[in-house]
Amino acid sequence: MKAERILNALGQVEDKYVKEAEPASKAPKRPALRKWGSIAACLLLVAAACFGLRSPDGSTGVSAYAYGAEEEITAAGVITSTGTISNSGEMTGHPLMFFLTGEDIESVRFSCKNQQLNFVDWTEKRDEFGTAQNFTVPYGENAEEYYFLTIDWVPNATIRALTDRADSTIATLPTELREDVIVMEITFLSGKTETKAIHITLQEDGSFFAAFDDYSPTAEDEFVLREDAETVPKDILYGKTEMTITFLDEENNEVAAEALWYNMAQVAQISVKWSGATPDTVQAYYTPSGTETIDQIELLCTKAVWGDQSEVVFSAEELGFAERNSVHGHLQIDLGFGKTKTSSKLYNVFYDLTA
Amino acid sequence: MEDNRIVDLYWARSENAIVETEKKYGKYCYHIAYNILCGKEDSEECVNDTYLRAWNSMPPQRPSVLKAFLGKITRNLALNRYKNLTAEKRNSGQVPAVLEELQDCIPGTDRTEQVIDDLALSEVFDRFLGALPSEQRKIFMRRYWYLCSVKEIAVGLGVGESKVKMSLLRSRNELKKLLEKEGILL
Repeated sequence: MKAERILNALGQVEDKYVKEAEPASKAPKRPALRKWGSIAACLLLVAAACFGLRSPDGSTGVSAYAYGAEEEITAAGVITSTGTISNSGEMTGHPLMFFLTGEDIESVRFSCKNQQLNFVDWTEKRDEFGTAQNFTVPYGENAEEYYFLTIDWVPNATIRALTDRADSTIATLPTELREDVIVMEITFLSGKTETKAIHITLQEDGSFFAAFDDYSPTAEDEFVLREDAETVPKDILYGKTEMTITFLDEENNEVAAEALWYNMAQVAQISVKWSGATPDTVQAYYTPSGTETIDQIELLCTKAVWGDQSEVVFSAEELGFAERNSVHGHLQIDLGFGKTKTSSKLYNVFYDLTA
Repeated sequence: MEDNRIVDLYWARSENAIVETEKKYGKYCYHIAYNILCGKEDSEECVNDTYLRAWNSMPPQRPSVLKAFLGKITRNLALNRYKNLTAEKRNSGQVPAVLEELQDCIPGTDRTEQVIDDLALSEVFDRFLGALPSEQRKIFMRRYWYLCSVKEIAVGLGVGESKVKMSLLRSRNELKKLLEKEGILL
């Protein structure tokens, strides 16, 4: 069994990973950053109370940290230790995956100039955006959650440029593929606003240099004016959309599978119902047996979904199995949600009028 | 006792090697076995077998990380023992859930090109693990190496269960992508 093979082969990984992950036998601990972050925050509060400290520019204390390494991305800049790109375009890890710390942030609007960002809410409470350049994330009063809102900078354009042309190297890339800026327009619960940015530079050795500082957008920063990307609802992200597919005969009775195969000659329609988010489209695909490759998949029918609809029905005519010379393969139903989709399992289908 | 000293005892064929191993790593090995076998007696036997296997392996071996060396032996023995147990017994412990989750990592059949041996496969896993952020890697290893429950991982790391599940889901997807990218057939 393949999963067993993975389980067994994992047993032979390097000792350092085994040692690193060793389960704690004592009291559970919170992630270091959160613990030390809270202590640091407390100390700052005490200092502020005692000495009336404020940062000279009245800044509201938002910082950025590299996720994984938990290192602060300072105004002076740091070389991130979480990922690299080689001259051949191979990327390891996440060159820049970060989260913000601070307090009383209402929302942050992210705008990435050249590449794309992938926002992940590990608390699973917020909608996400897939990979996008501009989007707004609601933060809220619970500052403990900020740690779990990560932004992964995805330099696909750079990787493509390095992989598509054999003679290209990091040193020969144009500036826009070696440098990028992520602007963060921060709105606080008090109504106050602040703009920060992370500047990223890909260095010739494949490492990344990142600096986080205040930012004043100029008229030339057209990328900040781009529209926000559409959200990918969390119901879809976390698989909370459930699909029920029923094969029905002419009298609307359910057609059962015979040894896991459905005879489409007996099926008059297929009902697709879902719970959770409403898809934009429902599509039926067919793949002939033994040729399960991407280019063999055939779209049979697409149905648009309107309003609060929670079911679509594909008729036998729409699926068109009766007109085929032979039917022996797999049927799959996809619920489309903008850029993402939820797929059903594969249903084995054949067509035999004599059965 | 220092690991080096314990290994020396094995090399000297001193039975104190087992006593010291049990003292220092008995609980650790038991924990690994119990996560897989979910039974006191089976787990204890498995740990005892670990000592025997260690006794037979040293010499010639001189492991650089004794703890991981013993842990690997326990894990292998426990998984083998698990396989030999009755179907009824298979429904206990973390193995069925872990195997089901690992189905997510199996590459699709369209881009597979090569069948590789376990050693080469574990090298791919080393690279995969090396590229993960440390916390995500810990979560992955605790689930699929130590076969800890999601709850145990969440409590151990002081995070929510949903975070652990999401981290695992993302890791499995990344592993699948890597296996597909390298055209590896399992």
